[in-house]
Amino acid sequence: MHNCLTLNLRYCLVILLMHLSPTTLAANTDITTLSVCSEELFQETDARTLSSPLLDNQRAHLVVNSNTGDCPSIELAVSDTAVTWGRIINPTLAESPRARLILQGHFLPGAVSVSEIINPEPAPAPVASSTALIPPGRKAAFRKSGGIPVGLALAAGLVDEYARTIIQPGRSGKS
Amino acid sequence: MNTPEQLFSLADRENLERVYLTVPVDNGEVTNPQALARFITNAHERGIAVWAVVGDRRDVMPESLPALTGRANAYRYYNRYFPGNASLDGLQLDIEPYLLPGFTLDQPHWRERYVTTVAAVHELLAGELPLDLVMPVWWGDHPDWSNQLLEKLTWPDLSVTIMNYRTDTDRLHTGGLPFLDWGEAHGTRVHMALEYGALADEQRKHFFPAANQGQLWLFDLGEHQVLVLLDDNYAGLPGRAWQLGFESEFSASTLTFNGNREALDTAAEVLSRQWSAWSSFAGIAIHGIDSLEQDQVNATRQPE
Repeated sequence: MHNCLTLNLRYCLVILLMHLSPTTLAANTDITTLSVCSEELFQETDARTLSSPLLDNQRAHLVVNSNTGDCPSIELAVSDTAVTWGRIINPTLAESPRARLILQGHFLPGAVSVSEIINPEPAPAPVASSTALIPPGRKAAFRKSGGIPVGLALAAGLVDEYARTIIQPGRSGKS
Repeated sequence: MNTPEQLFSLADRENLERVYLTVPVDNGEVTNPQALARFITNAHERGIAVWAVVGDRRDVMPESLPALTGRANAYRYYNRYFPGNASLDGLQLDIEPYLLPGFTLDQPHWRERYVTTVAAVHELLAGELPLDLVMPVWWGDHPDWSNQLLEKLTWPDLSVTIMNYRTDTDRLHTGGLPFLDWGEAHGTRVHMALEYGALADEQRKHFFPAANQGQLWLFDLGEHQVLVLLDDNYAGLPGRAWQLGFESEFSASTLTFNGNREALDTAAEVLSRQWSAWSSFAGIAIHGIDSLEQDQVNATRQPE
């Protein structure tokens, strides 16, 4: 601003307007460091850990602003709060230049949780979300029809009995 | 569901022939074995088989194996002390290694760990208890699993339960086929599990490659590649960028019948008829059916 007072005012206004103009890009002057540390190099600090995957049975840590200098690191011109989620991935996931990536999960401000990374090109990815979402089952049960598993009952021509057993509203447990 | 009576009531109402239960183990022994023996005896008198279910995603870690085999041993010893009508009918391993962080980075490694783990338990049981393995349906056609896994599981006294958690009958049918084919070829029984419990909807963000700016970035970090989601679009970072294209909802209704009894019954009937063409098909299991019991409890609860 000091320069504006001493230089041509119109020129300075133009400069200010340029800085204030809308942009689709977030502006940052901060520097944030991302590091991948092995278990041996990882130190419990206040640094934020994005993920801690197992690589060949060994724990690795993806860390924001770690102060451990021995870990492979990269500097990003963003603030540390700009990094909402991160994960070490298999390189094949994004190797195709046509690859599209889908993150599936919950994207709440300050609480991003990705349950699955889907890469539909060039090859469809397995749809694992169902199983990934379900906590380990502790109870399950088979239906039976007259003591015969459902499938076998049908194979034995007991479709009617099965239908009564399964379909009859009075047996639904909700009537 | 807190009491055996509730479970038996559900079993009677739903014509269940088998239940899978957590059986606690402490210091290498089944906790309160006398009570377990009474429960199993009662269940057997009602025509209900009782299987113990154990499993944790970390069980595939080498250091976790002693704890897992310790639990399996506890059930073996229990059956030796309580033979006959009070015995457990089998052990189900519900290990889900795909929930381990880092699983997708090296699936062949975790597949081998899985095979090693279940082989150790199978060998330990030595036919004294039949073993059932819970598997996700996507293992049936995934290149790192499917035949590479199934061809190693051709053991006696083994069955599998496939978490075929879909609601579209065509997808359910197709998803089960690799396992049914394999089971028929090797004489292995295959149970198909459907999901009936509640699951949360999720959001999907679709990202497309972008020249040099985006919200999602891929960075090389030493020997690793790191995918990072930022709070906004950024440009000029030292990596590959993806830009958000659009967002969509991923409805859990494609995975679970979520209490829709009519839809579940219809699908079960159709699929049972189709899958019965395979001799390996052993029946349909319902995950989350115990929520039915809670529904009924809630429905009959008196207003306070």
